[in-house]
Amino acid sequence: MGISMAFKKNREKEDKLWYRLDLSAIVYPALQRQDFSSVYRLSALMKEKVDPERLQVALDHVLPRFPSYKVAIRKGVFWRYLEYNQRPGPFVQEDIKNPCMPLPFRTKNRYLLRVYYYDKRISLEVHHCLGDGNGGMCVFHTLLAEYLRLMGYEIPTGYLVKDIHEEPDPEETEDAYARYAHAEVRPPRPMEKTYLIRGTPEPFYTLNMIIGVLSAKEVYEKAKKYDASVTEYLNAVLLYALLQKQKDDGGYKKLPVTLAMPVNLRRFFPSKTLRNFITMVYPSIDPRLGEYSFEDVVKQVHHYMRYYISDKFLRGDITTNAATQRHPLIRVVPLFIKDKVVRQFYKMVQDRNSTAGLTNMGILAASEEMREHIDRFDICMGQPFSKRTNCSIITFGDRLSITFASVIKESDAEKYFFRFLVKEGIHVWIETNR
Amino acid sequence: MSYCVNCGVELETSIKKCPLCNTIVINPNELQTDTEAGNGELPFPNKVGIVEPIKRKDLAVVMTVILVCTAISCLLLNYLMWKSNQWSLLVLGFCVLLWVMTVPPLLIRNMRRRIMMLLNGVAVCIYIALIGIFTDSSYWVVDLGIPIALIVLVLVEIFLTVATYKKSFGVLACLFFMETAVLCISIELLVDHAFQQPLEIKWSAIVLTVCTVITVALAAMFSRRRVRNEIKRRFHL
Repeated sequence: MGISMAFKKNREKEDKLWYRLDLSAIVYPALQRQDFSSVYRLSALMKEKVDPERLQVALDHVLPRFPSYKVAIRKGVFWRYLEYNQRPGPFVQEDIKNPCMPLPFRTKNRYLLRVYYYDKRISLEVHHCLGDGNGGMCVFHTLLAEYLRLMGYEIPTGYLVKDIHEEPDPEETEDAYARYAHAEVRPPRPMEKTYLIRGTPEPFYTLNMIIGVLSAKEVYEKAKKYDASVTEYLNAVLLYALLQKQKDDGGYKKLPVTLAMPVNLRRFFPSKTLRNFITMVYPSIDPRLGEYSFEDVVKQVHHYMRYYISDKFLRGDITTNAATQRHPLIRVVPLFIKDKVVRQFYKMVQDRNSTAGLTNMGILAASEEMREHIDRFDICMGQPFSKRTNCSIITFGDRLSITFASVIKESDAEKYFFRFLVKEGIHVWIETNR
Repeated sequence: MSYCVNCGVELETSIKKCPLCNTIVINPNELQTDTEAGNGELPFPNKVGIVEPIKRKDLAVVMTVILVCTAISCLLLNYLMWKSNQWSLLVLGFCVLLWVMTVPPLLIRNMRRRIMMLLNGVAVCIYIALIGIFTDSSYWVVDLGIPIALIVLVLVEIFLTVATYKKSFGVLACLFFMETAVLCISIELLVDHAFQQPLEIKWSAIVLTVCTVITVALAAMFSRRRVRNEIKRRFHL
């Protein structure tokens, strides 16, 4: 009787559980198309072949610990919201050739994440409306730790691994934007038109991935030579590659080359949230100002990053974004109109003010016990909204993995990028799903 | 262990050509032993994932239940309470029309637009005929209602057929303007015929002229590849 009462109470509690979408998450469902979802992928290459049955058990154990990931998305009259999902699932499945494929909201028992396995690789795909890469990585690490425990290894909690038996901290599910977006001024959004990659679109159900694995030490030393961080150095390499691509295209008009780079706001504003807490910065090079050498590009990126990535500027930036959401008139506009406006704004402005996307998750910290069983991590930003390429970087131990994802046949940007690294004397190992 | 001779990157063992520059991986030593590059285990499976179809059957059932309930309620009210005339037949017809327009696309996945339009057109014609029978005024149904509905149906079907096989914006734009002209002329002639006036093209001649000018201009622009590309570039979204 006691157990059934407790179960009933728990069930009632879960029934009442729902979350407003955070500031970033509002945009992603509005962009959802039949052939596009904002899905990103985190992969871990284990040292042993994956056991799917144990992986499923691990997933069943882990997901209730993260209530903001065990949800379904629903439509309200004015906003969408996340609702606790009590349906069975999600179920692990064998990996596919086209990662990050669209994730319609009403399929797969309405879960917004997928877990894949293939040979030695475990992958977690998450819809961006649940959380950013840092939140997703926390779920992924906890899943890997639980899986390894079921395989008979001792894996402690700590670093990104959460204790699955403890109650979730309410801060993990908070909308951290609401706490920090209170600057007194709202700097304008960048609206400049940038160079857009032109290419032959691939048919539906294709996502071309090229993964380059480098030695983190080699890259760090090379970056140090230019007096830059690894992120700044790789940003500069990609900008330089895109400049070359624009030159080769031979268009009648040169345009600035810009990268859209998400910044993890947890570094500046303390928060334990596992939901979205990022904002974008846009390092850019304008070839109309003159010929840029690689050294010039590194210098510009270095100074841009040091200047803009500060708590003051970032607070201003998130306040600008939050102001739209908080406007009383905008709040009462029905959802279907908001969706159309957001989609059109994204298509006409947001998507056009960057040439490519680049994210660097940085160095992944993990316990020694976990390190013994994992060879490498990969991260894929997912399918780009338009015909361009997304570049995602992650470092685990000495393995620095760079994943390019695109929906066009040509791979010129990737080619220039990796060729440049080879010329710099860095050894590059390539893997692909092409 | 293979390296791309152009890019200098080391390639994973299963790769048969460099994904960056498409250069084929050939190991001269392995050529003599009749083995090829790309024999390693694939990093990704060949299986392509397909998005699970969204189940819309529930919505179809709800729509059907609502329409059936509406029709039955009206029939009962008509025969039990307000018996003056058979007005419920009009409601019944309208329910059938709504059902044909909404439910088949929910039940049949990837239903062709042309077939859907054909079904809708036929349903509209039947409903117009029903109104004619009910109001006891068949002259406008035979002379105007059904012919105009049929002409619209034929024109839409032609447009959809062309749109299926020919994706060119230029062709579709020309077709749209020509069909608009044809529709206007047909309506004018049908009205003349219905009111027993001599068959003459008057106001529709203006539409015909405007549409012809636009069509010729579009055809001239889109027939030249250079101009076509220039327009594409300038107006790309």
